[in-house]
Amino acid sequence: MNNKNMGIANNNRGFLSKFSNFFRVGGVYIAFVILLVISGILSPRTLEPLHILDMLQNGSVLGIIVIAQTLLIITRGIDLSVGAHVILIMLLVDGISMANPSKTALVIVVALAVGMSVGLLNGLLAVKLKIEPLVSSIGVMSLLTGISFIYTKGFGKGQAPPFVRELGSGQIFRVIPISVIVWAVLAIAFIFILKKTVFGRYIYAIGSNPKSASLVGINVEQTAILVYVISGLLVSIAGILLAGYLSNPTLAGGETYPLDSIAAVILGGTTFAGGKGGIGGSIIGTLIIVFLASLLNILGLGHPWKLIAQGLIILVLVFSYTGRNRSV
Amino acid sequence: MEEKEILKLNNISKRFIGVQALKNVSVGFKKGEIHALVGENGAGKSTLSKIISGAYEANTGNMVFKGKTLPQGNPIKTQHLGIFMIPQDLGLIPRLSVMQNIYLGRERNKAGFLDLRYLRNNCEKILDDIGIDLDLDMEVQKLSIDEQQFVAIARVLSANAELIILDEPTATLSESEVEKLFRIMESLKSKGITMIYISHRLDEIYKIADRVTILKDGIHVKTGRVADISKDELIKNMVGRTLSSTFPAKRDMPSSTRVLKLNSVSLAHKLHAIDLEIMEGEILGIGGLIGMGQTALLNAIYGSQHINEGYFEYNGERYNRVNPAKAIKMGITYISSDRRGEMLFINRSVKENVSISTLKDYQRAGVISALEENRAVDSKIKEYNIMVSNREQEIQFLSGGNQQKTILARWMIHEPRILLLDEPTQGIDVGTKEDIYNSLRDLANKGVAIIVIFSDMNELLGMCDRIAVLYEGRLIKVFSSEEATEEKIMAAASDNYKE
Repeated sequence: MNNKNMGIANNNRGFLSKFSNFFRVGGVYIAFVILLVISGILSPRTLEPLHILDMLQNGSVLGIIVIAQTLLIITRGIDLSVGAHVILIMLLVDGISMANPSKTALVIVVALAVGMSVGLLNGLLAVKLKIEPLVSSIGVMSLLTGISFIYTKGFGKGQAPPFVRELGSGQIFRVIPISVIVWAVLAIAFIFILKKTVFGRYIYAIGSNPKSASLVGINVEQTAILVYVISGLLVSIAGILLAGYLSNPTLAGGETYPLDSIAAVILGGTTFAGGKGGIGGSIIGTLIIVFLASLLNILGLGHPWKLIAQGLIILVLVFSYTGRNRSV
Repeated sequence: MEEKEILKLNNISKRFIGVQALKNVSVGFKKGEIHALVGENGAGKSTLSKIISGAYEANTGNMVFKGKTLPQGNPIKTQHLGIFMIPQDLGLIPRLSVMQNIYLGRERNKAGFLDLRYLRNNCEKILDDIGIDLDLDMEVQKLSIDEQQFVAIARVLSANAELIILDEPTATLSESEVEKLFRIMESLKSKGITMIYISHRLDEIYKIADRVTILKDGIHVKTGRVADISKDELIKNMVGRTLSSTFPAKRDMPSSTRVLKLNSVSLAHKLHAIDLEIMEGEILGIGGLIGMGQTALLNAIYGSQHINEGYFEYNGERYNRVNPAKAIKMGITYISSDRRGEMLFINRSVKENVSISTLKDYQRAGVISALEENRAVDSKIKEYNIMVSNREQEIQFLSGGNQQKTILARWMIHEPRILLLDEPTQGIDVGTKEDIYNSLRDLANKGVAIIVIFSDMNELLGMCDRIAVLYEGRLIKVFSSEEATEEKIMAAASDNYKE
């Protein structure tokens, strides 16, 4: 009876329903193409290959964080500490090595270890102690920011070793940024893991229905915590790239990562309900955010306009997604 | 008729999709009586109470309350007229105080501020009237279950209830708590309040009720004074229909190979010292009134709930602690009655829903072989006749029956030795039901031991080789298929069975 009524309501949606159908196939891809077209019309030089590569390099740190955020949101988790986390890793890399090449291995190992520990902490809080991850990761964010301040006494010091600098700002064949290649390799790896491996299936399963997952014998808590640890690892890789990208470490600049990364994931069609979505959409979501910022920048519109435009795109896309879910 | 009827139902019928829940029910309730409503699971008791209390609208028929037609499908209006239902879960807000619960939604105010003095005085008066002593400021969640029940009663009294429907109020109460509740019911009765009392406990009906109405399959069988109806007659009137569905033939010889043995298995508040044997190739039905520990029994065997006493014997080994992952490895699988909540991955594909528990069979170094997975899934889709356009279709777009077949297919890839099922045909159309009956019998014939909960008497009698009846977590009796009759099962289910 209920289903019937809902069906009728859905048919009556008319325009809205068609609008939602239009985006059903791949809203985020369409939105991205529209953005490219507008961008090309307003400022043709934004579509030049060199500019595009530049933007990709700009976006690679965010892009890797978005992979982490996607994995978490698929499993009904979330992490708001990614910004503070990525900054802490950068400060550690710069501060420990002081540009000394002999410390390259050391700083990379420290960065990855810290990254996994932060992930484990977030995982234990959200999964074992069952604190709402939106809240627990805000706590962790504050914790990490405080540690960063104590470690640096308020001023970033040091510089990344040459190898790390090469990773963060170097190019292959003097054209393709290495950080973009790192991003692409990680993206492909995690697309493969999600689609083709048992672990990937378990990630979707625990996000789709944790109760069902435990009744088919999946260790739900262990899987969820492992996802947090992997996410922490990814954020620390992003932090290493950031250390190599910026010539001087700074305590500021991490604030945009939490919201930008979540926005990219949601734009890409991964839903908070869990068990749905993937890396592919999230990458396009990242590109939209990066290209949009760049376009507005070229047009002489600054950060406020980027936020407004980003907000509008999110609202429109999310409306189209939920519109389709409601009709089910 | 010496007393006057406060509520009269005339030819009430209610249809749900595919089910005639009530057929031309006409019954009158007298002012100030306690009127018991009895019947098997699915007899129509709750549908009838929901129509009276305004939650449902009848398809045909009308109701007359105090000489006026009672509006239908509008619980608020019905409550304004003085008719209330107290559901089994009571509907209280655990974190609010006794007083806040009693006045929830009807707080009297003075110039926008709560008139606390008035509310407090009134609450005290109501509780005094029925002889209850409660701390008005205590949070409801800190009260015992029976005290919470009193709060629920006080709540409807404060809204001037004249007719109260009590849905199995004693199901969660101890004996002394029941006595207390009955005293309160007597005092309400002396104030002229009418009560419709739904209960499975026949003894209690004889203790408290004045009259009783028996429903069976949505039909009004009989209404009469409790004193004039014997317990045997009551049970006989609740059961006794002819088997309607076609069930596959049962096994001709009892099986002699034991698969699993339960030795005084107990689970806190849910199961008490259960001893039970399960044989290879048999379908063992678990019967009883709803909520008597049937589901807990399956969960205990599957390890999704941990037992606190007793042990299992399986494959010549003893164990008392297990979890679903281990149970599956041991060859035990479970299908919950809550398909959406506990079995399905509703936004994932049919393929993933089938293969999720067997992925380890199609993987090398953690990577799934699409070829092997697809082959296994396709063969099961075919074998179980799952209606699906392709294996990548999301399972939420399938019918309940096809979803159930998908879950069955998931477990059958394991070739389990024991299959546990909780209401496997719930919410499934008749045709698919028969598919599932046949699949279960096929599996049993292949040697799988099946333990299945049916609340439907037809299914219990039609499908099962043996029937174990539970009452309040205790195993009352195991019937063989030959000796099982509806009367005997019903008697055991209400703890009135005598050899």
